[in-house]
Order: sequence, then C-alpha cells, then structure tokens
Amino acid sequence: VLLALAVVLQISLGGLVVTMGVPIALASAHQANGALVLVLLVALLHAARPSRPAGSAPPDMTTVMADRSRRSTVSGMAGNVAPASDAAGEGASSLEPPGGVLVWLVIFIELLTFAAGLLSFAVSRNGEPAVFAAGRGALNQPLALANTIVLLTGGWTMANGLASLRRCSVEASGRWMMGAIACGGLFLALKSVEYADKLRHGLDLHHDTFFTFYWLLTGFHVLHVLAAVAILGALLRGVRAGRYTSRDLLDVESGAAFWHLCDLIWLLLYPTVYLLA
Amino acid sequence: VAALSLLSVVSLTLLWGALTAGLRAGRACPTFPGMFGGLVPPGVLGAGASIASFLQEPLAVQFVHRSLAWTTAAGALAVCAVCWGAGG
Repeated sequence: VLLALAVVLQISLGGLVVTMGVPIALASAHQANGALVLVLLVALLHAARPSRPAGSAPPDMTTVMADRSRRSTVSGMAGNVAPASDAAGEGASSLEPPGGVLVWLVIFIELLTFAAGLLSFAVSRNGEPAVFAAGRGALNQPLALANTIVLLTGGWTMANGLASLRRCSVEASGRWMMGAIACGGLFLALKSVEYADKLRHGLDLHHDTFFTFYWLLTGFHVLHVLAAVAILGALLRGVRAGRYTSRDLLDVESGAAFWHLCDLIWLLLYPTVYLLA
Repeated sequence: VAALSLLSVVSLTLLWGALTAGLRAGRACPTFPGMFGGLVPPGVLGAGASIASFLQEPLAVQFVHRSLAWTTAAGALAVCAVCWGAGG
C-alpha cells in the first residue's frame, strides 16, 4: 500500500513539477520521493525473501500459512500472554526504533517531501500575495479546525490502543483502535464536504496557484489518511484475531507510527495553508 | 518475479529521470497529465524520430520518462493487489 501510495504521489509531484515550471523545491521533492519508491520496493523484495537455514529445502506456501495459523491459535489460546518464541524469535534489536527502521525511513522521506512542497508554497505566496490571501479567505476555517481536533483525537486513541496492547488488554486495544479508525473516517467525511464545497464554487485544481497547491498538498494528505485507515483496519483484524501480543507488536507499532505521521503532516499543513497570512 | 520486474522499471525510470533533469527536459512540456493535449506529444514518434532522439531531444526524453512512470504506477498497483491477495 505504501509503495502504491508513494508511486501515486510521485506521478502527482511530477505533474506539479512540469506545470509549475520546474521549481527547485518541487523538483527536489520529486527526486526524494523517487528514492522512497526505490527504498520501499527493495524493502518489499527483502520482506518477500524466504528466510531459511542454508541447505534446507524452501518452505512451500502451505507450510508457511499453517505455521502462521498455528502461531495465531497459540496466541489466542494463551489469552494475552505471548509465547516465548515470539520474544526470542522476533525480538528486535534494542537499537531498533518502535515499528522498525523502515517505517521511520518512510516518515523521514515523507516529511522531506512535504517540507519541500510547503517551502514551494511559501515561496509562491511571496510572489503572489493577493492570490494567496484571496485563496486562504475562501477556505472553511471552522471545518479545518474541526479536522485538526479529529486527527489529534485519532492520534490519542491510537496511542492508547498501542499502550493497551502493551498492557495485554486486547479488547481495550481493539476499542481504542476502532476509535482511531472512526476519527480517520470522520476526517475523510469532513474533507469530502470541504472538497465538494470548493468544487461547487469552481475552486478546482486549475483555478489559481493557491488552489493548485491546496488540492495537491491536502489531496496527498488525504491519500495518506486513506492508506492509514486501511492499515489500521487490517491491524485491528489482527489484534482481534490474537495475531499480535504484548511482545509481538512490530506491525502495530509501525501502523501507529504511520498514523501519527498523518497527524504530523496535517499539523504542518493546517497553519501553512489555512492560517498564515 | 513481479516485484523484480517492477524494480527494473523503477531503476530505468530513475535513470531516465536523471537524464531528464540533466537535459533540463522538465521544461519541454508544461502540461499534465497529457502532453500538449495528447498521450504522445506531436513530432516525437514522427518521421524524424530515431533512437538517438529519445536520448537527446528534451521532449522525447520527457515522454520516455513519463511513459516509464505510468508503467511503474501500473506495476506498483498490480504488485499491491498481488500482495493484498496473498494475505498481506
């Protein structure tokens, strides 16, 4: 999902680069995101590589699925207590950040990409202050504030979901994660209302420079929220099926980190696009 | 196999991206998603086209880069669908 998202972002950035006359900040974002696509693809290949001792026969898919199923059953039967093999076999290095290195690499490059986009926005605003002031005046400030509160609430509920899972409270964790997904859904619903209103008033992508940036920057962010909601949904299913335990949290931690990235990007977008004159 | 094929296309796209930047071919066509209103910009596949033009002419270089990028997008979505179908 992240790979597909990065590719869609890359194509959109490419379109923006050529239509805006190749500004250096956007071209840099396009190049940084190109590197992200390569990193994600290499990571996918690495993850798909079967790990087995040298000389042993490769496992077939049936064996792998049976093993996963058995582990899930064992986790479920053991209630909230992780089997010892989880800690020994999948224990991450103490130097590894929560969620693993890959998701933090993704966060770093995503922030670079958005930072370049916002920098380009700020530079263009200096060139056309009247256009940007008029554009900002046409935005729905109360709706944007509501969306900020919704996303921050979503971040809080996901943090509680992860903390509950660490405390072995699987049911509470599921409820908190459901809350985070609901916040994501509410954000997308409010955003749809905002977008419909803009389109109704003819403020589309090509209206002026401000709205080109508005649609692309907030649109990329909406794509991220969509992906994050899908990821949280898959994780919630796993949590309810007993697939994750207090000692086997890597997937949930990386999903939570990606969800918090959506919060963070919005906290950069909201003041830059909606508030700053 | 699908991911390895995609890796080849992505690598080629990145290489062509470097060529596009080096030739300043990004400015050759300022329209998106089409190129001057069509999938193929006028003259690129015409009578005067040669293999060398796809490495030297800014418009043709940007056309190849865009074509590779669309191929990458289709491949990435296909790989995503395959991974999703295989259970993540």
